[in-house]
Amino acid sequence: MIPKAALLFLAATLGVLPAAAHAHSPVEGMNEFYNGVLHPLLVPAHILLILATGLFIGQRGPRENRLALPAFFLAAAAGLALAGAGVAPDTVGGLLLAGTTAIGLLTAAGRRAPLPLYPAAGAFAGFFLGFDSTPEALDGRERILALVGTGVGLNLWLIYACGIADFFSKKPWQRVGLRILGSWVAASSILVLALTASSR
Amino acid sequence: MTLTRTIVGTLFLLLIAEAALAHEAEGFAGGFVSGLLHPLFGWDHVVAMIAVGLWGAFLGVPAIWLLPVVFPLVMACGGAAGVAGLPLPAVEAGIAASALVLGAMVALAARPPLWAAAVIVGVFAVFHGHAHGTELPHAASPLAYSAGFVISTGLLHLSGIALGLGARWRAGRVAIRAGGGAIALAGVGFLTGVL
Repeated sequence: MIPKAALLFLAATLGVLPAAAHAHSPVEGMNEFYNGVLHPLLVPAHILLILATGLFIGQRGPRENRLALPAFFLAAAAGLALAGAGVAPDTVGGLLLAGTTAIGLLTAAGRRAPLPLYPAAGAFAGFFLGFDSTPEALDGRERILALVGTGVGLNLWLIYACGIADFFSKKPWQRVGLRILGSWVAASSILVLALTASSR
Repeated sequence: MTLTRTIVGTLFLLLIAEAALAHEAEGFAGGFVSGLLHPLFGWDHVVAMIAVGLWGAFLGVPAIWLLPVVFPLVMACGGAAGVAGLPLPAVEAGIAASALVLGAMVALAARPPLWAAAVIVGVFAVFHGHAHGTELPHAASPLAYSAGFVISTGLLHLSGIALGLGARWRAGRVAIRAGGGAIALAGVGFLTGVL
């Protein structure tokens, strides 16, 4: 016969140890907003798409294609709104990788793409990055805070990538460096796209 | 009472125990580091990638900048074939031959037309990519692993290009051609199994 105290101790131990399961582990000690800001940096596919889009837009110069950044902003807001509404995406992973490959290849090509392609790339990236950022296990105010944080994060990281690419696109060797980065991003995506396709 | 304490104590220890890992290759960081290190631990990969950079430097503009842009993309296509399970005969022999041929090109200061150089490098890129691609399904984070090994390969090219910039000077050209000869010899060693 196990004494009551031992059972209580065991129950307490079992109750304390389990942790909530998260698709992307939130950073401890931060509220939902800041976790949302960091969310794009915790998902490898998101980092690559933000990098590819930022390099692509920055390579041409944000001033020359003024619609690209607003298109990203509006599309991200739309994608996040759908994610917040609980429209759970299942097949977005492949689309993110396909988009990253295409935008990475355009960056690697290094030539001036037709102007409408820049806002199109921005809108594609913004929408699917937002759509793929459903805050899990959060409701009400916390869920909204996480979504707003993710929106701020997505735009912030894109502007950083864009600004760096714009700054480092003045000299010929810098432009080659951007093309090399674009080819690395595209190559990484091609491989995982192949893995995704072969595992289906 | 002693039995009860033993049972509770054992359960408690079981609950707090964590798995012992020989290598902490988990998650994004683990996958990235694994990918980054994978090309560096195979000497056949290392010398061939450096030879690509050295040859690019010898060939001059635009090859010096074209190779590091095109090589990762062709390598990724080879990797995709590896991931898809498409068989490629004699992968290891192809990688060893890449060191021999590319090293010889540097040693001889060969200057074929750009398209011919691209075809030679592209064929070998497929072999290198295929070898990396077959490792991908076992990676902790495939995307992080592939980003790691693409960056690592690119950095090896850039190392070769940086060394190849010494070709501006006469003594540098001699040293680089000697390096190419050493890489070709290493390729012979890989092919024959001596190395």
